[in-house]
Amino acid sequence: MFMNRFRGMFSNDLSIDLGTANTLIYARGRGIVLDEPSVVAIRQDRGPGGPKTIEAYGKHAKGMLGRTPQNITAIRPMRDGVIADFNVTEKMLQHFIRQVHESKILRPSPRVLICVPCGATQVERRAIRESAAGAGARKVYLIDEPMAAAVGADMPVDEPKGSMVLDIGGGTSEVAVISLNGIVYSASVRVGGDKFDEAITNYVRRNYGILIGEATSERIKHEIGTAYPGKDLLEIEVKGRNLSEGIPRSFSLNSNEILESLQEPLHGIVSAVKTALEQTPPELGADVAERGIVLTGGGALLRDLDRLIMEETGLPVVMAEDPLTCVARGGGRVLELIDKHGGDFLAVE
Amino acid sequence: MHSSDDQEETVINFGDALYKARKQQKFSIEEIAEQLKVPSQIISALEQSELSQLPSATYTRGYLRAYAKYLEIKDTDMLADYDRIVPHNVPLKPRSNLPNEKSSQSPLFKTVTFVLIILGVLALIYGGYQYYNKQSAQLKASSQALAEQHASEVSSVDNPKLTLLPQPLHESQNTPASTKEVESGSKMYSNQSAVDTIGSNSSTGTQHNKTPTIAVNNKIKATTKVVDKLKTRKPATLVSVLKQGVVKTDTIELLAKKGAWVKITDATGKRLHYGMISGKKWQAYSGKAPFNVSMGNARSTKIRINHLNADISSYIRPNNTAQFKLSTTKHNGQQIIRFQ
Repeated sequence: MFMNRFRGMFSNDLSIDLGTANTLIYARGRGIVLDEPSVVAIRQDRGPGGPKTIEAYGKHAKGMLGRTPQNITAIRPMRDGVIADFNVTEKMLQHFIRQVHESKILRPSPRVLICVPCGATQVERRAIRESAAGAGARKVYLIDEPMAAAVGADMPVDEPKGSMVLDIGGGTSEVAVISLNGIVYSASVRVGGDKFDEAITNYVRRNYGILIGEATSERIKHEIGTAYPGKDLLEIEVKGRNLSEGIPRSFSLNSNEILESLQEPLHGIVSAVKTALEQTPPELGADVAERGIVLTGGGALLRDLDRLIMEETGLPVVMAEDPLTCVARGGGRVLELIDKHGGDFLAVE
Repeated sequence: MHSSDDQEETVINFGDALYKARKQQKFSIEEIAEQLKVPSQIISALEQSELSQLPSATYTRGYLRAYAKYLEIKDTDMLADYDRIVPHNVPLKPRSNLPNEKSSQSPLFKTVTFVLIILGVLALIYGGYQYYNKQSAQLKASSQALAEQHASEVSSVDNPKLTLLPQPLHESQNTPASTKEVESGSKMYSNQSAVDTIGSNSSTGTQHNKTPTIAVNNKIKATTKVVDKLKTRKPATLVSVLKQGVVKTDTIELLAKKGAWVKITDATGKRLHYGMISGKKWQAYSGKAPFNVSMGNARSTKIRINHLNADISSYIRPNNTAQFKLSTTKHNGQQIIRFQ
């Protein structure tokens, strides 16, 4: 107990956005200190029963995705916003927490605030809490992702006015209506950046008979992915394995094709927003209609996604600044607010 | 987040560029409002930089960006202008800067605590060292005190005089146990060993002490030496001396000028001597009477028991050997020799 407090003295308060695709860590007073893919490469020598060691974390491990020999597996321990592999997540968190602390003498024991999808079950929340505690956290706070996103986007969450936030992450998309520091309505759909990649992979396989990897489909999404038909037509040259010939082939894709491929996951998000608008109490709905919806999360960087939602809902859609780090920054601000107002603030668990 | 700073409003008009671009591209406010899904009064408020009409910074900045993007003009300047009027995204303060924050995260508090802890650890180490020193000193002192106590006890036993014999070490005490112990390993020459017996030595009477080599009066230093020597050589002796105090013992002395083979055992069955005796000096053995003596060349050998001359002539066999038991008893207040 005492030792924890002592170590805590030399640890920063951290806000962690433990995402499916990326993990971001915001340290109090220092800003975003870590932005790494949530990927871990595990080495297992001497056959299937052999000892497992961690080969790489983050960017390093992401480079290994789909390119590993038999004794190494690059895995993503988070799926759909929740923990899929408890032990690996714990190890990864531990590594990241150590990475952001300069002191190598004392094991860091920070207070940690972790953002969880609002659709996460009690079991999933507990898993996240315990894995953070296992990674050395002195105290673990959990907060709903849309709340952190709204705070991070600098939305007036404390006003008696409805604000709608749409956070599109790697595994889940969260939509919430917030008023007076509380969530009035929230919904989470398991559609996010991963689903976009998957849709692109499926589309290419179906229409071109060519198999592309996870990394390639992500690159396609980043470079020419679009959510709404725009003026310019973008093209990209990619390589994949031709299924019928079994030989790697090069081919080109354009943004309209990607738009077509993304229709299904995009529809999922749009319908979640529409449902949220339907479920919102009328007064708050009016506030939302007046000011609009704020987009956060890495998924919001998909070209013209704001335009799509704008057209579909008829409401103004505003992109938050630096949408990728909104959640982590919001978590940091919430930590500050917790210190000011106490732990019961902002529906923090 | 609304700023009601009228002066600033008139100075900086972030919406001017939007207005000019819209006029240039011949869009009406309604068209823009329709495209951006933003109410037309907000569009005009943006153009006229009327902060009171605009929502909070997050939304306004979003509108500005969307509007600029729609008109295909740069948004950086107008956003910078807007930020100058409406500061937002105030960087988070470190925890120590917060009001009512008694947090441990303050650098000063951290340093002070760290120094205190280091000092505490050092103090503990120093204290431990001091305690160890004290303990060892105490241990030393107590062992010294014990030795002195032993010495004083021994000196009380040997009071008033104590004899030190150089070789072999011999302390002739009036205790049978100690005497036995001392004698068990070494010969004792009667003319070398001499102790003034103390009054409590009851039955044996007085001993003749002929040539005391070194007599030391009860000086504690010397006694301590003796005790130390005894301790190193025969700790049991010391203890038995200390514990038993003064117990009676008998002495048998032999003088064989021409040499004689002698075997002496005392009442306890302990063999006092077994072998040749020769020389011009009396040889003394202490033990518990009666002594069982077997000897050769008996005619030329003289025996004394407790300083009384014993006449053994009647026990001498024709082959010049003798075997008898010898002791002393009190008879009419006088010590007499008794053969068995």
